[in-house]
Amino acid sequence: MIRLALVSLSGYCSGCEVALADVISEVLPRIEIVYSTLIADIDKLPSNIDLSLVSGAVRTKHDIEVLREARNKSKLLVALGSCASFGGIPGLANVYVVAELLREIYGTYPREVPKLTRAAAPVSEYVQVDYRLPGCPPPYKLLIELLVCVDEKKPLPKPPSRTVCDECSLKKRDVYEENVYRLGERDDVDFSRCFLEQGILCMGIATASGCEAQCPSRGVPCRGCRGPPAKIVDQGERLLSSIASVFSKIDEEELVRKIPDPLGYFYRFTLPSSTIPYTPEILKRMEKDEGSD
Amino acid sequence: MKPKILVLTCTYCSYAGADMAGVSKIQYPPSAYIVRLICSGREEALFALEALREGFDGVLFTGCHIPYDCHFISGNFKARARVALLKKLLSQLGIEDSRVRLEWISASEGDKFAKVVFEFTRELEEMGSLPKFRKISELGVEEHD
Repeated sequence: MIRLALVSLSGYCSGCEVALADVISEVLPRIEIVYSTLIADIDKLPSNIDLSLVSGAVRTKHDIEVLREARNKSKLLVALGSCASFGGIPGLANVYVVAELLREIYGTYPREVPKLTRAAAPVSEYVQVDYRLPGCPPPYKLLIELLVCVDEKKPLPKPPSRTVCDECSLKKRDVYEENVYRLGERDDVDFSRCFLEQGILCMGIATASGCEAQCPSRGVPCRGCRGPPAKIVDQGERLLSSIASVFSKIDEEELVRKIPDPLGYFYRFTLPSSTIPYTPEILKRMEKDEGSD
Repeated sequence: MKPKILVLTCTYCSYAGADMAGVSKIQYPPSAYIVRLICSGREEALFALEALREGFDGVLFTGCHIPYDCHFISGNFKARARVALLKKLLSQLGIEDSRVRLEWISASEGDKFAKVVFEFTRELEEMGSLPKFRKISELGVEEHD
């Protein structure tokens, strides 16, 4: 029996908890949920937790405190989902300074919002993480595998070193279209053929395997939610460099017109754990604040 | 302020061009830190991003002239596409996209190499340096009230 805590940080959408609900019938005999702000009415973290599943990105002062407490009280701490592993979608807010961000969302300057950290961060930025299970949401097979391993006290599964393309069943001919298209822009998309070869941006080439290429095999290009494969740090940069070389015959102005948002395409899930994880404006703003104190 | 420029060069054209600037004794600022790579197709966005994070002020991508000077046929096209997307990415991140620059320099253009380094150095001097990047956990919480 695993004493399981579901720690949901502020930057979360509860999709990871839904992923757990998906597999609950298979793992219920193995787990006892001792803490969760979402499904149980327990407001304090108990001690002696076997496994903490942390979801969501770290964005507030409260998050940092809860996270540190969870680390102290649990034997294993696992980052569940892309937000906890790499910063995820909430991490895209790192292109704004806090004041600008709040104004962008609320229009006015809100008083009720908790104090935000200057930039969103993955869990590993603050505490030691024993294992990362990325995915948006994490693939259910891997989630079961993880819980079984923890319950039977076996070593945790190895992080994948291969990419989505290795698992993808779409046919590849190694002939590339010399143009970039949006998915809706072409009527003649062949859904049994590789998307990238047809000029549709697919992020499978630098995304860790493990999801069995669910999206491409159902007619949707990969968005890169599983993050980089082992040994690669900056998924977005890998995608940028390789997709640029795939479509290098296109004129540069045309390429930037066709891929107008490289940050959103390539760093959709991994900005806070990339090489340049936030805008330097945040640092300038911080120096100004420190100067005025 | 003395700018630091990472200059990525390819073996067959632009490194030879930089060499030509040297053997012709053309003076240029000591701001250029030249790295020789096999081809401009090896010049990846990661090098520029890491250089900017680690305190370089600008990155100069160089290669053989477009279209067909490249020793490996299409490396210069790859560099061109990467720099185009990288510039867009940097401007989205709030970093001046002119910190990254792409120039075609052939083996005989030592004078062009020196001129480009001169110009780029002056531009970066005007722009000033980027703040020193820190870990996100060191940034702390913004007091907003």
